[in-house]
Amino acid sequence: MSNLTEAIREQARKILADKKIDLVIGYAEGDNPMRTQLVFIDKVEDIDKLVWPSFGLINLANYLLRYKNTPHKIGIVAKGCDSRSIVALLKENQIDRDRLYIIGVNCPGMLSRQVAREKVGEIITAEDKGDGNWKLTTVEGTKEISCFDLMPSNCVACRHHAPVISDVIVGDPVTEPEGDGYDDIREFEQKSPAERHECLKQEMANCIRCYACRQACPTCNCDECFVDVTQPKWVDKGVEPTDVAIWQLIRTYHQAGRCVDCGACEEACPAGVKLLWLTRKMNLVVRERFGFEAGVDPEALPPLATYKKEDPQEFIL
Amino acid sequence: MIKINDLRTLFEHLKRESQIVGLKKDGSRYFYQVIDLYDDWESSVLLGNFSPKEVFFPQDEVLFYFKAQKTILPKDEVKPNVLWGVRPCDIAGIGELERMFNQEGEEGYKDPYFIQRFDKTLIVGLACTEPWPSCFCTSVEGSPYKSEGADIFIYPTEDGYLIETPSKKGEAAIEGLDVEEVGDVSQLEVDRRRAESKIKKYEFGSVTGGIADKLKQMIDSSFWDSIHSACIGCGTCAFVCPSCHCFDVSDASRGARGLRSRQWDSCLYEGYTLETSGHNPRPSGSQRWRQRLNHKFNYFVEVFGMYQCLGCGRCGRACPVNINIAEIAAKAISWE
Repeated sequence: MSNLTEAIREQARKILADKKIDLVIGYAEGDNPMRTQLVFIDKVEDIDKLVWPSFGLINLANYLLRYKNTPHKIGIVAKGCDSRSIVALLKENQIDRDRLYIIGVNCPGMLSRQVAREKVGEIITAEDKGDGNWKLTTVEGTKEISCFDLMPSNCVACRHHAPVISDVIVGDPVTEPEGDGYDDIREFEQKSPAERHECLKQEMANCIRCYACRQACPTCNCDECFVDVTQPKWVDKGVEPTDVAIWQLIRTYHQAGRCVDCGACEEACPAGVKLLWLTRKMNLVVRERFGFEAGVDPEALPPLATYKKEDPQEFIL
Repeated sequence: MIKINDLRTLFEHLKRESQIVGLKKDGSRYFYQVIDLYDDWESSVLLGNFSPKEVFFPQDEVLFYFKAQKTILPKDEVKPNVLWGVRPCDIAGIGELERMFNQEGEEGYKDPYFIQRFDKTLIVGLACTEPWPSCFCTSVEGSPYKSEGADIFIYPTEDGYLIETPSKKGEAAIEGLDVEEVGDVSQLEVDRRRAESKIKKYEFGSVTGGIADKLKQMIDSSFWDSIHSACIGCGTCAFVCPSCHCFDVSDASRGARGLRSRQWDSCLYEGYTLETSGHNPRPSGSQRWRQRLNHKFNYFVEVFGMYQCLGCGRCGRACPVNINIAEIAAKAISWE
């Protein structure tokens, strides 16, 4: 059992036993290789189901929306990015701060099943060797791979390993790497427009419009999503390439200044679409134009919710 | 039974008459696609990320076009297909679609779109010698060596392949193939047991008396509130499932014509039961999960006498929060 698992259980047990909260939302062991399950614990005797996972890319803040109109007080295990999502939701008045108890975790980064698939093929079994390596049995044979090679691009790029908002923090502080983490996107920007178009066309062709990305995203929380509106119909429902592209592009635009780069969308996608290309490019634009990063400063208003005279607007004229 | 040493000969023989659809790698995923060359077939992959149901029931399908007072049916472009290397669970899934879309009797629903594809497809099954940890077909009346529903069925053996032709269509298809007859196939029984012993077994009881009966008593149970919490309602499970067949119908315009089409849908979507009035008879996740489990293990059993879950395990593998329907069904069985 990892130290983080132990620390999380200890904190969760304390607040549940003290009746500070009604339930704790956290991670549990998965029953498939490289998967993580979630638990909603309301009894102290179930606390030992909580774990600190290796593959916990699902964003737990997503679940707070369920309790928007309930009286529950909620304990939540929050990685750096989850805590940023909580900030984003607080700013949008989706949840009450005083009903939350945030067990923040200094997150060393998660591993991704999608990346593993990309690198070694369909995973049949996965075993943590304990020395930083994973032994993966795939349809193409057995391979050992370092955990650093299993990190998704958003964890590699993460500069907010520490929770930005919390009631208690567990785990050792993580040294934030140099740079802003967007080198991969800048590299992508260097491609010619035709090449970029081709790359994205390829990705969109894989999308099956199941909306797992939307459902996994805490800030994709409209009461009614534009793709589900039928009067008027904004976009056709099928998998025509234009319709798929419109869906994905509008979803991305709606996340401008709200996406915290947690990678839950890409990890949830059954078709392996590289959704982070779109959202991270968007984040880079917001950062460069407005100097804003979602969910980092609890006081700052998101660019879409405010106007400054000095906002760049050369694209209008 | 007949024996061949190399599947390539069978592949080439079938390819003379029609195109072959089988598992092919595309990026990091495995899909059922047209295979031109035998070597492009991913023979070592047990299950594709998506099931072969698309071959009969595409995700997005035009039903008809319309213009003023006129209805125009889509031109028949269905080519004869050989569906190559399908596993027993997926074959059973195709059987379920057939029960649904080509119902028996005068009153039964007949779906012309499904039927024309189904009639032009030859199903070549393949036994699973090495099941995956996510498999549970033996818990839902399946077996890694079940040939039922296939036209041609391949059993890999130590020194080649045994070929069975459960249907007349399959028998006709292998005519002219240079083969040797085999009398003694007792080894298959040994192989079947070996493969079955590797599969996780859940105790769902008999089809009509076990879990189906239990679920009938659980409609108002608090159980449903206890299982759905992690579900984000993304519908991925329904999209990768070999037997989920719900669809939504929508209209769109294409230039001067309109078209009516259908797309896959999922009972876990909030909008699935939403009515025009704005009323939603299944407003909560727990009700939607109750529907899903009941449809798979109770309602379908009531109507067709079989489970609608084939134990392929794709949903649990694909689910972003790793919800395993078999675990939930097992919990339902033991729920007090």
